[in-house]
Amino acid sequence: MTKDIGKLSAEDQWAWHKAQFEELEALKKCNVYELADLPPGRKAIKNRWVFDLKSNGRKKARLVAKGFSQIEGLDFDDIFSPVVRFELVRTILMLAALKKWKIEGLDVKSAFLYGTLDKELYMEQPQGFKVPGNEHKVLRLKKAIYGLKQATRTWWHELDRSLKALGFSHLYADAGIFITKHADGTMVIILAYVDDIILTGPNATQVTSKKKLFMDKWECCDLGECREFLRMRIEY
Amino acid sequence: MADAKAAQTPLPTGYKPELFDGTAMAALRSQYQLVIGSLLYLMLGTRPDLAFAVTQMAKFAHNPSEEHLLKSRHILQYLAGTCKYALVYDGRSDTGLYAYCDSSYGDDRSDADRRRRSMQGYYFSLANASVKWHSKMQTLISTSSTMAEYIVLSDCARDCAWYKILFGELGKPMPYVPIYGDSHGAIFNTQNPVTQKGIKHIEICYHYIREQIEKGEVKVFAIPTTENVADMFTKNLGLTLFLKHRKQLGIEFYPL
Repeated sequence: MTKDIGKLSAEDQWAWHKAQFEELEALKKCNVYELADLPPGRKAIKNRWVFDLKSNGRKKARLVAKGFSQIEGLDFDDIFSPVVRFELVRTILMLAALKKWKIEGLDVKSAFLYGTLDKELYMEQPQGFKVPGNEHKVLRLKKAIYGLKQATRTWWHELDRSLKALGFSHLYADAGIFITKHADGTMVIILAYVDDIILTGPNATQVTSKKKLFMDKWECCDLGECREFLRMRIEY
Repeated sequence: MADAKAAQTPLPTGYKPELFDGTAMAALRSQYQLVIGSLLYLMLGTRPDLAFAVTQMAKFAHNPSEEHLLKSRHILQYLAGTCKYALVYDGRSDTGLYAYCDSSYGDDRSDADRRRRSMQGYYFSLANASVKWHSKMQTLISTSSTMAEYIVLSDCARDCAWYKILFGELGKPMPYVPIYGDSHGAIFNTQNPVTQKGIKHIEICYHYIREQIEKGEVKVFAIPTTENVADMFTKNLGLTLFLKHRKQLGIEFYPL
């Protein structure tokens, strides 16, 4: 595939252009940013477009921040984000398979765009889509956007908060695993690898009901019975 | 590579990679990094049998030679022959969590400063297959094979403690974790708080294993070297031992 969009046919160019509009529409829907003046002494974070041809032929344009142009202390502090460790994915899935627990998979759609930022961040307007008459203005980010250094961390905090409301707490041994215990001794376990989620537990009804509550909170892609996680095929 | 001639082991028996003194060509380097990157992900996911081979070859990712690229292809050839193998957990014969440890003394010649550090490896097994594996070069230089083994036992005990916390949190507390090693000297030292000439210089943090044993958190058992599955995380084994140990790791032919 050629890398220079100017060399594509007019039809293809238009298709990609449409994909860009779709992305901007999605960002608007999530209330990711608002137009603002750049305060003196601040530098706006740069951004770029990433074009991706999905395996089903869909054209996807994604606006990403250039995280490397962020300044530590001003634009971000902590960036460590917990994800479930691979050995625990194997351990929990093995327990689930041996005890014939129900294993359900989910994928949170555009997870990063839910993360509320705790800092005032300014980003340049997207290339080729500057608001006419306001070209000198910048975007004040309210939600995390792909490419920001703290994007995964803010998402994890958001996830942690929402799961707490559902009665889950993360394990001390691994902050990528969330668990809720019921009075009858059963439990529901959630494995979270950024936006890839697995739910399992001895009681199938509880797993289903927790999954429904989770999907009410986040817009998800329901993968049903889990047959693959992080490109690892699972048979049971 | 799908129809490549299959190799029986990830790397040739006894192969010890050497540092490349020249400067790698940019094209070769990026190709090498691509191969190593993909292999690393496979290894982390479901292929403990690759652990030693891949971590060995990954050390040269910044400056690989033709020879290194050739050997990384050897790993691919091995994979081509074993792509229908999977980690199979069997709950019917569950013996609980246990660990195997091993180290090889001072045989690493691939480090930039040529200090001959030792290799260490261990793995944890549950339901007859490995759940966690680890193969790496030790960070400090051992003065004896006993010391190298003592260090790996201690590192392994730390992971045991972590697993115990995890299972406690899941509401399934474990009594103790058995650790198997093949160095009688190191095992003797873990259980007898004596200060001998050979080990009195070992850093405090590595005596963690002693405390864990005293508290009954772990128990250490000696096994013959040929029975030590973790051997495959510290050197390139011959075919017979490799196949025997691979089976112990729970990697089985599993066509879908």
